[in-house]
Amino acid sequence: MAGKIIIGIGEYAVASNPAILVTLGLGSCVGVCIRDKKKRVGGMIHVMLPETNATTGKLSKYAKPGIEIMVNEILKKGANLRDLEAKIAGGAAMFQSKGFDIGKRNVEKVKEVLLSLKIPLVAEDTGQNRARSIEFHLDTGELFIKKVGGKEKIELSKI
Amino acid sequence: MKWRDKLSDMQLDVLQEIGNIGAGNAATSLSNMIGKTVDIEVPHAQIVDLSDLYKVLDQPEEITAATVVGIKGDAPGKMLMIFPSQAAKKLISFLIGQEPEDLTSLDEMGQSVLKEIGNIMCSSYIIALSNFTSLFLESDVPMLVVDMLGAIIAETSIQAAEEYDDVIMVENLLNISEEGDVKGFLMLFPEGESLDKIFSKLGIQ
Repeated sequence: MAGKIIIGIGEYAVASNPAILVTLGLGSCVGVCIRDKKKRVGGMIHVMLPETNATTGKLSKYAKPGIEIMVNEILKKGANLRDLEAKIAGGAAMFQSKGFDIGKRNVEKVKEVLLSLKIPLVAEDTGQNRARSIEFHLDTGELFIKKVGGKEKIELSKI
Repeated sequence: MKWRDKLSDMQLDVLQEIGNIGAGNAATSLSNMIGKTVDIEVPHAQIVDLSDLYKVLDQPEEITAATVVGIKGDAPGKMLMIFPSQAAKKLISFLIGQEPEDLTSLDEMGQSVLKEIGNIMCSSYIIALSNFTSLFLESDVPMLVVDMLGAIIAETSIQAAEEYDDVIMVENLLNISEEGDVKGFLMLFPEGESLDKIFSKLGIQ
């Protein structure tokens, strides 16, 4: 069994196969998983907010520049930019808040950053109102998603 | 920014005391409402790095019901009342006489009971805080959410202070022991500027 690496809120990790990257309780946050499908190196980032202009502090909290920082590190591990693929999950609106929807803004920004890096988004499970816990298998590229479903059961799905 | 670099131990102690007064008031309100004794344990104020949030929770994926109440006024913030699934169902039964089967598909009645309990408890807490600090504070409309514990706490703390990399949690355990340990907790999440106001009102810098 590959070891699991747990990624905290606003953090990221980069690894080579075999590894399983995990993050728990994505509400309005977005889990962005990027992997070189041939070399099977990749990473996951737990994005909290869309964007910052700051250059110091915890930049991995933000889709921009967090994703770019992670992609650079994936490339340093020997990945090829043209073989990278992305899967994303999260961006829910857990509270019925009026006004701005931070989850939606996070998802939009993540997609914008991926597009600018020319990394194709091959699958997503975003929006709705339930939190998600996710597991990204670097071996197969499968992303497993846990959500609270009906009857108080945790539902498992795969994208 | 980090709270850890801003707050002294003494200020954390003061927050703990605020938790004590607030939760005492809240427990009395709950007790009056359900006609049972509600015990509160010594509050715990701590600063947790966002990235470590899941390490301080025993069961981050436990399904829980939470009522979120926003604090408006001089020192805005958020409050959470949290009961794990079984306890939340018991609580509903104390008021309407019957336990709901499934927390994830509560009917109108069950939902409004949890919202109202959360509303009354958080409001009592907020009133106590307001009296203690002589700041003008009022509670916002309660919202109910049923989801994984870790996600609820993370989401609330992010909303309360998005520019911070850590969270202040003032946590109070509640217990209705005569009903075989129905446990839940209250949490206060102050927003960035609010603590400065609270501390300056109390004369603690």
